[in-house]
Amino acid sequence: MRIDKGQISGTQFMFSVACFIQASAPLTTFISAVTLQDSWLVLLFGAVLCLPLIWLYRTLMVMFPEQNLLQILVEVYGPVVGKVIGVAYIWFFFTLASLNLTDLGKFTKLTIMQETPNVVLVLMCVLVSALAVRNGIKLVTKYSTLFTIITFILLSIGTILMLNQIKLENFMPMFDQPVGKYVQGIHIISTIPFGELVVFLMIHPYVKLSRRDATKYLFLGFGLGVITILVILLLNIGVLGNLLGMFTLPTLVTLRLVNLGMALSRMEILFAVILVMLLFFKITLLYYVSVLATAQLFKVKAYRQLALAAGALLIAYGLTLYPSLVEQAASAQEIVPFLWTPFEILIPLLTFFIAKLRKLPNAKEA
Amino acid sequence: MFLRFIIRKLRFLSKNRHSVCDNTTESNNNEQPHVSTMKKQIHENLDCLKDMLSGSNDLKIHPFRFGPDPQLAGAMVFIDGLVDNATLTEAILRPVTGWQPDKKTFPTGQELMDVLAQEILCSGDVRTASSLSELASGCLAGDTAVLLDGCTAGLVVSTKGWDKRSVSEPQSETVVRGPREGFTENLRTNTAMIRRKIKNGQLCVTNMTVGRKTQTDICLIYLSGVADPKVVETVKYRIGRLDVDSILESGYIEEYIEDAPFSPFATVGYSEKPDVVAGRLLEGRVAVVVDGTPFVLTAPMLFIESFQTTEDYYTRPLYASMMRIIRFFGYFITVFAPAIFIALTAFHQELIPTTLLFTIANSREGTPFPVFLETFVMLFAFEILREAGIRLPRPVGQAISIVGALIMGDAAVSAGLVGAPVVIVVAITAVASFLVPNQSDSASLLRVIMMVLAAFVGFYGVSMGFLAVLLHLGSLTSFGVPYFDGFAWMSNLQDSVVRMPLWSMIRRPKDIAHGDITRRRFFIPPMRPYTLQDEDDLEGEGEHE
Repeated sequence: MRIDKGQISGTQFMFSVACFIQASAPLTTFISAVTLQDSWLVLLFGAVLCLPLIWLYRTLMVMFPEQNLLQILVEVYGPVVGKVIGVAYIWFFFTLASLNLTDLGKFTKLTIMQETPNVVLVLMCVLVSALAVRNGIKLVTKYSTLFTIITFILLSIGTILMLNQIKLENFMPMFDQPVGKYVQGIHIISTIPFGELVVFLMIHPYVKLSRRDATKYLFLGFGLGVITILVILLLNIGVLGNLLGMFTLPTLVTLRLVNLGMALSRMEILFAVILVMLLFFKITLLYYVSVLATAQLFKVKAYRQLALAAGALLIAYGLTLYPSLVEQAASAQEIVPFLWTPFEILIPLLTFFIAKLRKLPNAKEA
Repeated sequence: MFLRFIIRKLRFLSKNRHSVCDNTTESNNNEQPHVSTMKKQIHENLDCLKDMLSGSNDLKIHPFRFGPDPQLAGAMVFIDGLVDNATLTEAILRPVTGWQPDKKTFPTGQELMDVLAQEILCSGDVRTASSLSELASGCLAGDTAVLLDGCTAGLVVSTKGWDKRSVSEPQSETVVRGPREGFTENLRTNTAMIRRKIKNGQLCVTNMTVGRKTQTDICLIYLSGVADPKVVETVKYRIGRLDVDSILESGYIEEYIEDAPFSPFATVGYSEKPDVVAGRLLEGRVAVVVDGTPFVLTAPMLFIESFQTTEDYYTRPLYASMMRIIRFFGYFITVFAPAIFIALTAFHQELIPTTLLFTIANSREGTPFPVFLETFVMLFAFEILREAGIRLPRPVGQAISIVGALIMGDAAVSAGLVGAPVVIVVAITAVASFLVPNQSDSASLLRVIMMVLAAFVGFYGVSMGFLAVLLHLGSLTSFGVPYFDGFAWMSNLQDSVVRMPLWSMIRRPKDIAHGDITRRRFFIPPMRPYTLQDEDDLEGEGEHE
């Protein structure tokens, strides 16, 4: 059952993956608050440790090229258990979308629109996202290329302007923190930006990919995303040093320090552009996936009709999730990684093994 | 949901209206079934013809007698003013009255008709018509109907000739370099002008007639083997399906066949210049020439097409690319400049450099209205002036624009009604809107939306509006071709933001052209100076040995 008839190309898939990971880049507090100046090392370790995880996702994609996550679950666990896990996944996607939406609202409020009510900001984003969701996967992923390239351009402009302010001693006390912190940091980095790639198990049937291409595009996209986060982290650490832990939006503060003569200042507008653009993409993708999953669960053909209703729920859910930004940040560091682990690592792994044991895709062919 | 409801209602209403129309046509047909059959008596036929044309006075009936000791009777029927009198005399009257059969017996009835058509008349376009309605429509198209006594058929002889405007430079698209001829109101002149640009047998011209009352002639032109057959079929189907009263301008057709009627962006292109249309045909597009208007439609249209002018291809690529980039900026400015100004002054003063902030604050000190209202009123005034400038007679129009632009603007600033920065922003917006004339209507619509967003939610609103416009552009298609192609994703990038040299554009646009997609056989770089070429050749030979 294919609800949406759209098709996306391999490059679009790659840039979507990249864009999805990049979207976490502007909000690096969740990791840099834990491991401070060693965050970039943690990021690198995390990325390397996540390679098997991405390989797992890729294997599931290749094993079930025509079915998305919900269908895989039903196939592997049977209709009842599969659907129960499916509902849990819908909740997961929905919460992710809500969280990112609140992020966008709150950070916009914090940086440029101090006096506007949060609802207005969130509502506007959801309305525009709904426009994309109603038009299907093709439109949702179409602009990922553009967004990724713009992010890279703006980022390199920012980096070049900041080069003179980077102090190498800011990186200095390396491996100076308790081991627990590193483990925690790696856990955070692998669940929050990287593990969320499990979302792409929902849309891979729309990509026509051979086994080799799937691997290539998935890992290239992953690499692009990691590079972006790495550059931003290095920039923040190099410029801010010990002050890193003090700010909710270190990247914003970093770019605010740009001052090249009288000509170039106030570069934090670049940050605002990147933030809005990337988070918008991530929200739209998650929003689309949750709408699609819901429609699929209830066997509704017209998923378009669900878009606005789901949007209203997203806003309501997002506004009631966390009372304040501080609590949200605390939860992102301590609770969320544990909450996400089953969805991102355990269930896919279990699904893979059960599918292997039951020789599922092969049995179907024979 | 509510919108959907309204649209459904509208659709229902329009369906009703259609059914009403069908009834009336049926009743019309019922009223005059006897008309089309022809009688033997010429008088009855002529009376019937007169009846069919409502007894109009410009219908001329010229009876004549011919043959040996004029005993054969006939009549010419034509509409005064639509026929060329010289052709009429030379092609029909003179040969017919001068005809002397060499045999004693001469043909009668149908045979005579054939002899007349094949031997006597000096015209390249004679067809036999067996019904009166055919004759009548021939007359209305400017041809002459020839009727013979005792014959149940008539001839339609082409004698079209009416006053028409000669080929002149188009007002809407002026160029510095390039051909200056423009289309005219005459269909055949226009198709001939396109044929003169593309002298190839593949250029296919298909005639169609649309409009129950106006019977407007329409020509579909495309390069078979280059144009996508699917697009050609779609255009044909959409035009053929039309059951409308009148087509007075190509804008009517455009509105009936376009993909997105409620989008601010036009999905059908138009041009007044043969070289533009020829260029688009060569890229695989389909042109629709409508009789009675110099504006020729082209489909499918891409967003990028509005930014491509013919001069881009006639001037050298570096300069052309620069101009194109400036055009993009112009469009961006004309849509976003007022919105950004409003967002900056009303919400994000911290983003303005301090000195400039003081200047703006100084100039806004005495102004009574919020900046949104100021900008909005000034833009509104500009639109009024522009419209007035177009409609008024030319000499008066200039005076009005001087009064409006110079005196009103200056007076408004010195009286303290608006701040000087607002006037500057509005002036830049207005001037920039002329850089991309094809998109000026979408620009003025979007501008207002962006201004409202900026007034309420500042930069966040503008960026959300920008994303919404991007998404909308991404979702549009024009006859199956993605509208935003060549812009945001990789396809046909040689001729999008920059124009690459002509010799590097080997292929036609991938999404538009089908079949014969190579423009040039292979990559032909420009010739190098002779001396260098010789040296290279010599070296190559040396290596061979």
